[in-house]
Amino acid sequence: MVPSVENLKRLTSQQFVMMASGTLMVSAVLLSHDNPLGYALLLLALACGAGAFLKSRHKAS
Amino acid sequence: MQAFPIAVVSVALAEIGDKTQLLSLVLAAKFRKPWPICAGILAATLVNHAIAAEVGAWLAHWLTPQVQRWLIGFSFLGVAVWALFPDKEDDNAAKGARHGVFIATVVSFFLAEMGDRTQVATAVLAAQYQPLWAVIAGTTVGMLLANVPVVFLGARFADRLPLRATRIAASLLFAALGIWILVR
Repeated sequence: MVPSVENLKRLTSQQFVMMASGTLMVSAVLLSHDNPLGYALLLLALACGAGAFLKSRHKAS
Repeated sequence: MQAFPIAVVSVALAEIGDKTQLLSLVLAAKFRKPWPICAGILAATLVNHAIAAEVGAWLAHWLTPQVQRWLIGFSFLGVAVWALFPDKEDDNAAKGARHGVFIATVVSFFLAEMGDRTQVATAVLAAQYQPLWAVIAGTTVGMLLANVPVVFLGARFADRLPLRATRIAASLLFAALGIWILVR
């Protein structure tokens, strides 16, 4: 099954936080080993964090 | 031994108005059996926070001091911002008690705590402070301080909590920890 925008829309804020935390940890390990891919994962972690915030605000309204 | 008091205070403040505290309130109203609920919260928190703390401490070994400082400092600042926003209770939480109140509490509390701000705070605290057992004990005591009165006294107690003030206090504490780590 190919992930789609609909799949992303179904994710809860809790799932976004877990994705952000995991991605942030891997990004930190990569950056510790001077791997520039860590910056891309850092951006992904920030995006997941923003997604978690938007989801929680959407739920609250 | 500064790990224990810091963990107790920061998690107790962060837990007030948190999703898992609202879950405690729902469990207390639904089952009306405070002792197995409290035992369930203790068991779920111990396991959940032990895992989070192990991950945090393990991660710290893989990072250079510079990356570790930035990660922990900004994570504390992130939790500080997160603490400012109130949580809503999960509609699907606290489902059924086919296997008893204790098991229902352990399962629902453990799942609700996954990715929760107190779990993230535990991982970050464990990456920064030693010994690990003091962090786990501190965060667990902090969770019990915030949840046990809610379970025993229910909505009467929860309605009297100064939610806005505690949110701001928790946020300021995490922000202070983050700034201290970043600038020292």
